[in-house]
Amino acid sequence: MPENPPSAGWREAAPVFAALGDGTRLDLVARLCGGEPLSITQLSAGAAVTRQAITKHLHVLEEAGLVRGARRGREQRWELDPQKLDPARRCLEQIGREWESALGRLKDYVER
Amino acid sequence: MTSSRSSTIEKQILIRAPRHRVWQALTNLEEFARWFQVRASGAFAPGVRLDMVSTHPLGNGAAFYIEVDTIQPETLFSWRWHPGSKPAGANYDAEPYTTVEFRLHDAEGGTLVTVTEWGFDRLSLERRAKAFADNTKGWEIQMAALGDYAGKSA
Repeated sequence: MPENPPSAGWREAAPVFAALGDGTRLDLVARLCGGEPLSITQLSAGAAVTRQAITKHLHVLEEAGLVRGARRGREQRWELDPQKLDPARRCLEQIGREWESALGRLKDYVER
Repeated sequence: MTSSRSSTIEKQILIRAPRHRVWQALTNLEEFARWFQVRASGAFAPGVRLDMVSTHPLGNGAAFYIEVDTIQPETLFSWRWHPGSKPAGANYDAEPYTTVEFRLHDAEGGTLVTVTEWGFDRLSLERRAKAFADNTKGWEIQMAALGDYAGKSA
């Protein structure tokens, strides 16, 4: 430790972490996890914030590449690009593995 | 507890040794340096900043520092640091940090060590100086859902 994640990986993941670092956006991503493209109306249903706020949050997610909008007829629908979550997930997994190996070394050190 | 708690890594290990022994290996800097694989001098104390150099075979001698947060004897040891490698001499001070926390519990046959690291969701929010909305949803639940989805779509 720290056999840190390469900074390139972090640079790639940072916007994703940032985009996900908000309750409303995390909720939108969770709703889109079903894989079906959803309309603003569907995404706003039961939400504590206005449609305008939801739209703003979707644009933040879009900037991070996490969601994309597609026009279907007169309606804009939004879908998740799950591959964009990979850098963030890989970073967390790598750090998790590093902690596992650090704890393993602590155990070996104490128990020897 | 802050909202940054929401993106969390947690790992546990059972160590077959009494709690005071594990605590010592964790918080005596000389012992810590051996298993954590760093070179460092000084002593852990709340509020202290310690400069370290990685001696991990893959660490490439990376220099970094930690800022000790809490030391509750035989119970809790925590610090903050900056994830990701940085060029030597880089100024981290404006960068967001994550918090690392070690908790010890008595367990059958030894001591249970739980390490938690959180704050990954602030990584560039702070940089952008945006307000951080409270997120009580729980990153792990969401990540599990995302993992399921990614698994299905793979």
